Amino acid sequence: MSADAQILIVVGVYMALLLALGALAGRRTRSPVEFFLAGRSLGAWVTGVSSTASSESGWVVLGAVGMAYTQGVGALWFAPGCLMGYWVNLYFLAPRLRRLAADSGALTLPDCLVALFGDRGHLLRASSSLVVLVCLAGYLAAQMTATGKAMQAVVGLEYQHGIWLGGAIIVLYTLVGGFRAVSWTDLLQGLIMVFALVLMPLLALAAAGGYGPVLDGLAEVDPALVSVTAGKGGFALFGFLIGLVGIGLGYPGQPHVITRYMAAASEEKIRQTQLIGMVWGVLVFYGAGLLGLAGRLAMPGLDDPEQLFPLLARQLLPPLLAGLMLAAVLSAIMSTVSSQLLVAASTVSRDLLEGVFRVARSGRASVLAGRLSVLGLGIAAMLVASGDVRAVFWFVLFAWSGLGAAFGPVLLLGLFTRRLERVGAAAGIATGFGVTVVWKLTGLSDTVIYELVPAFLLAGLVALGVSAVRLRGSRPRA
Amino acid sequence: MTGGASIWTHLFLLGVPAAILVTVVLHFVLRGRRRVG
Repeated sequence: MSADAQILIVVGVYMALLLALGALAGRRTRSPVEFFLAGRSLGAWVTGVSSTASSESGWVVLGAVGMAYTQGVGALWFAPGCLMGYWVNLYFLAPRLRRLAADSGALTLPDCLVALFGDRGHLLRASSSLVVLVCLAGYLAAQMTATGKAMQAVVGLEYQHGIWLGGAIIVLYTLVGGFRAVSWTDLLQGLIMVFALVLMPLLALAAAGGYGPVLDGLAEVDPALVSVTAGKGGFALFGFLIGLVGIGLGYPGQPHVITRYMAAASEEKIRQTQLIGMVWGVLVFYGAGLLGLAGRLAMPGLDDPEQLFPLLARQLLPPLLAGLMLAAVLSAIMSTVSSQLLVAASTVSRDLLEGVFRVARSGRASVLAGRLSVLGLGIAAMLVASGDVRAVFWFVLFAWSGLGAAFGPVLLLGLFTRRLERVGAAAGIATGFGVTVVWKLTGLSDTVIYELVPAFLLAGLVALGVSAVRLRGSRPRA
Repeated sequence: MTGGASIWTHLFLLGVPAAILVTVVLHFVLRGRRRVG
């Protein structure tokens, strides 16, 4: 049997497994709390691995690897930055968010904001839903594009067919099994990712002569490649470090990540999740970085360094294992798409239709509206991706920062202080999103500093300031 | 040690992830013991 046929078989089995998990989860999905939050029954492994897998898209197996390949050791500053985000999420946000969601019956991020601050006139629910939808819509379309490209590279399908086949599988298991299917498939995908990002850097290091020779070889190519500061100094170094470490500020505000904590079965599960999530993060981030460093010597002169992972897998591994590695690329993308698809659908059905417009409020109608939203949003994202609508991809540029700056500060301040109230929280959300867009549009992200840092800080300050003015003379929120 | 890279590079590449792993494992084990105790 040819190598390509063996790779196809592995990827086919992987796809079939995803659909089987979706069908299995669907048998237990009847009520809204089942469809949107898996009945708050997730164990530690599912919560830990699925939340981290959904936060890392194709960026970690393609983008981060390519960054280390191009920029050298200094690029790995993204790893402590992202792990800082994991630490805040897992050790601080997750336990309190889970408790709040369980006590208030919240199923979505806007539900949690309403539970924290109250919501006269739907100000908070409507504004937060709008930000979630705008950011996730672009994100989804871009991830569908990535799905098409990955299917093209891995299975050899035409780009358009890749989008529709990969997208249809994601939509199908999300629609049938809801949050439980998304979480179970994310667990499988997260385990494949971590296996791949431990195995591949070890193989690449071995192919390039080992850890010491890799660093020596990189230093010979360019001494800046083995410099912790990437050979930079002064303001350029400051901007470089903030740009990489600052990525971590985005984690507490990503709705498709933090809803996973709301679905954990107990606080004890969250405590186990902390260990699992952090170990997963260390292995995946440093694995991606080391792969990029070793790959620079194992496969020098690549036109597109982001293709290092799939190219090296095909070169170093027997077909069946190479197939599994390529399934890891698909896993990284698909785990993020399905999570974002479900959160976007829950925003349409639960927050807007039920919460704001007061329709589809019975249990069965709510689940049906959720499923139809998954279908509608999924098809829309596939249409946009296959039509290559450029305008939508503009949104992706600020989706991570926009969500992170809009919701991160407000959620953390709301969960850990009593100094925030409804209008202040809405002002913080608007500021975080608005500053991100303006910063990006005016080019300040490239010339001054990564947009998430000022947007995050300003959102927190505005939320606190507006709340202080409105709470003056009255007692803080109980 | 390799000739091309400084001690800071080795600390950054190997020391930081090792320290994070040791910290989270110790935190988990010690808290488990405290809870049992």
